[in-house]
Amino acid sequence: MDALRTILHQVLDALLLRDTAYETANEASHPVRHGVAIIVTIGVIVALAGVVGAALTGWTTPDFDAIRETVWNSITQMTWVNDIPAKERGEVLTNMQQMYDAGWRVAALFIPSASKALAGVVLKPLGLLVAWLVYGVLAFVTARLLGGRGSLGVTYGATALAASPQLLSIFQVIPGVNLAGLGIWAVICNYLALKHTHDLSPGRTFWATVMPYLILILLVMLLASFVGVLTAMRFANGLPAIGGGA
Amino acid sequence: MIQLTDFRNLLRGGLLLETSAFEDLRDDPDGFARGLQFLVAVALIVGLVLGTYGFVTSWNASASTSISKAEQGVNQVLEQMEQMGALGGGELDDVTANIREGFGVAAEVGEVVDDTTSAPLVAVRFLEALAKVLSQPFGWIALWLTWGVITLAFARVLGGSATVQQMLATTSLVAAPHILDALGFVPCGGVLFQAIAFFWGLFVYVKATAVANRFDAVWLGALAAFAPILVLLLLALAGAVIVGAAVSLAN
Repeated sequence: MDALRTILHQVLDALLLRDTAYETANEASHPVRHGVAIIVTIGVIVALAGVVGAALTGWTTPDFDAIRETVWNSITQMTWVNDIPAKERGEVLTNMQQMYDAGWRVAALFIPSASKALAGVVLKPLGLLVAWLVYGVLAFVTARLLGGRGSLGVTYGATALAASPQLLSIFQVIPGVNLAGLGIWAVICNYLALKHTHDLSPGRTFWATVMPYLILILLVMLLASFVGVLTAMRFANGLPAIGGGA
Repeated sequence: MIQLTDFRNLLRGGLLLETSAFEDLRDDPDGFARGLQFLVAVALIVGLVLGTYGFVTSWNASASTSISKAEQGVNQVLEQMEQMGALGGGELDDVTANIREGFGVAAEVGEVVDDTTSAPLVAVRFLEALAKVLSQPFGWIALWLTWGVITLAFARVLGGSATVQQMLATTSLVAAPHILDALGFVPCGGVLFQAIAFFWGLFVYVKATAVANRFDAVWLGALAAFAPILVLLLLALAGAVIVGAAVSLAN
């Protein structure tokens, strides 16, 4: 219990951008282990809040399947449907329904549910851990390239505190709360973590903080382009050549 | 938690652009925490007023009732447009037919929403109001942190010396005039109060940037605060020129 209290106290200090939190992280005897404890604590607390939030969301939201069915039935009864030639109407409506259902399937991914929230108890801390591990190593490499002096372990120990703003996600217990600003808050926490760990000038600390994000964005864009090209190639292979005759 | 006396002093200092209030926050080692609590307190006051107003005026409004009201409003606008001659007879028939069909779908969805929601309507509206109250500080924090970091980068280029904590601590006072946002629900006048708060807030922000960065001239604070907008405008302009040139060359 004391360990939990200590972690939460440090997380609160980090959230309030108090230098002492980052200095304490640098002095930890096992910074990586301490970092894992911070991340997992935050992840589990937020995920448990998510379970309550999902229950409240389920209680206060309508049945989405019923809405989907009602909207589709109403659309098919609209006057413009009669403007489609009778021969083609069946095919047009079938194609439309496929797209409509696909849209709802995508939307369903973002609708909170009890099962998703329960899975979050494991997935949320895991996601935070992976993000921290990837960011930490990229930040360490960048900081070192810019003349930083901190070790990888201490970098991990300090950047774990950048998960502190995530703790405010406990407000998701109330459905519909807009949790804007947590991302930029985490960036500022990372800036302070790297400043205290690597003893760089403010300008270099800024670049050491931002570069990992830019690298990750670039990687995601490259991956998306690659997947897009692959999808387009598969799609093109499945279609007859343009102007290829009957 | 922020003390009432401290809140009052920061509110007055921010509203009256008192240099001592900005310096006090800048030089306080825990200035960010104080500034954050001040900003959150003001945002919660605004959110509480607007959320309560929203709850009181709509606690018993079902989805079907809201859609019906919206339809009545649109019909009134269409009638006015017809009277002003903005829409011809044929056009109006087409427009109203389409709108009526659209509202028909919405009404059916509204009924499904009312019938399939487990919670009582008052609980739904209460949670919506609560979400609105709690969302207010987050929206403000997002803007405050983002613009604070961008402005700090420009201020540094201009020779500023603020740390990120000092910059955010002093600029938190921008929330002071925005207490007027609480009057946003007042018909007609609400927008005016919000506009006054916005422009007043700009002056506070410039002052805060200048004090945090120890600029001798306030115009340097203004330059740092507004330079990001100028850069964005110049980039947009350059982009438009490049696109225009490319289009004309292609033709």
